[in-house]
Amino acid sequence: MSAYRLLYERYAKAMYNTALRITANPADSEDILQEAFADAFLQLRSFENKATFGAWLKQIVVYKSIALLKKRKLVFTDLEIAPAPEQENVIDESEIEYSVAGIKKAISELPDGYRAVLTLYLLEGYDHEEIADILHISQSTVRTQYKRGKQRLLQSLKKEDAHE
Amino acid sequence: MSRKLKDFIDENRRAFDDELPAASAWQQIEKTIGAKKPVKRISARSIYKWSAAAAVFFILATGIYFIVTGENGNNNGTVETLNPVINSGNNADIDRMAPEYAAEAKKIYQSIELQQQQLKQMAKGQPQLYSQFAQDLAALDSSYRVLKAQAIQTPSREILIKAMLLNLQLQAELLGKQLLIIQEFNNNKTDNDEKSNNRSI
Repeated sequence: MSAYRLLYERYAKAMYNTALRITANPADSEDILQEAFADAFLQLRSFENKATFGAWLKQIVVYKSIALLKKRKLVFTDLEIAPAPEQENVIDESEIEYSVAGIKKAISELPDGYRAVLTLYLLEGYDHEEIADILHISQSTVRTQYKRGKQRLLQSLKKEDAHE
Repeated sequence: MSRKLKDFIDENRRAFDDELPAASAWQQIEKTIGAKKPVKRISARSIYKWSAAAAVFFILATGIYFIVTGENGNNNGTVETLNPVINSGNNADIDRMAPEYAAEAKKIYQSIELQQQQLKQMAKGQPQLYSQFAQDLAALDSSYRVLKAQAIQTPSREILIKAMLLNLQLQAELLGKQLLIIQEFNNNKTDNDEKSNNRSI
């Protein structure tokens, strides 16, 4: 098996899931996965162990996923002027029974902007400053969007909880 | 159950990566890197290297030519049109002009001829690479012809004959390197890019 194939085997699943969480679209995520690996392999010479290969690859995947959202006409700067959602009861996150499947579903149903901020923070391990860099928005916008997005997520999780 | 969302996700992070990409994804990647990479990398690296080498040899040979013409005045007439060594395999030049070097020249001619045949054989599937190699050789060979034209007319024939021999030797060496490149190239192809992949990682 070639070294390329080994790298693919090792990282493909995680990368595909990352793309899928941000774009919420399997076909787009597959395209991103293919492009990201091809780019990474072709530019392997420019990769000088600045990070691990996985972290480098993930960065490519994240940037491609965000670029795709932007192509879908999502303008992240609009988030800055978006009105605050109607104040519903603030949900206490410790009162919810979480499940992986439930969280995945709720995240996939969020609007693109919230979903991007939330997944980058909660699942991809970026901090607010890094997310601000990736999305080209201010850190305070990231913080507000994260809070609002999380409230929406908790609301839909709570609804699911009540149904069961 | 008083747990926070982030804590729950951190504890179960791996379970979130449960979707699988289509199996065809890898084939697509393989196609992309297979089409772009090995050809580009090998040809660019080796061809530039040997083009540069040929250029250096050419400048050296031309240098000798100008030193000699400088010494003897600019009395060169028309440059004889001769078949390039690389094409004709004509091995009589030095025998005729300087029989004392014939034995030495013969060895080089033979090695050139043999290597040319091998190269032609091996480069069959690589017309682009072969034509680049032929150009490199032609650059060397054109300086050989200039040397030879000078040698016919000049009294300081000794220097020129030696330069011709050196030139032939360089042609033989260049052919040898080209053979190595072709060999490596063909190996890479048959190994299904295995070798070059491993090396680049």
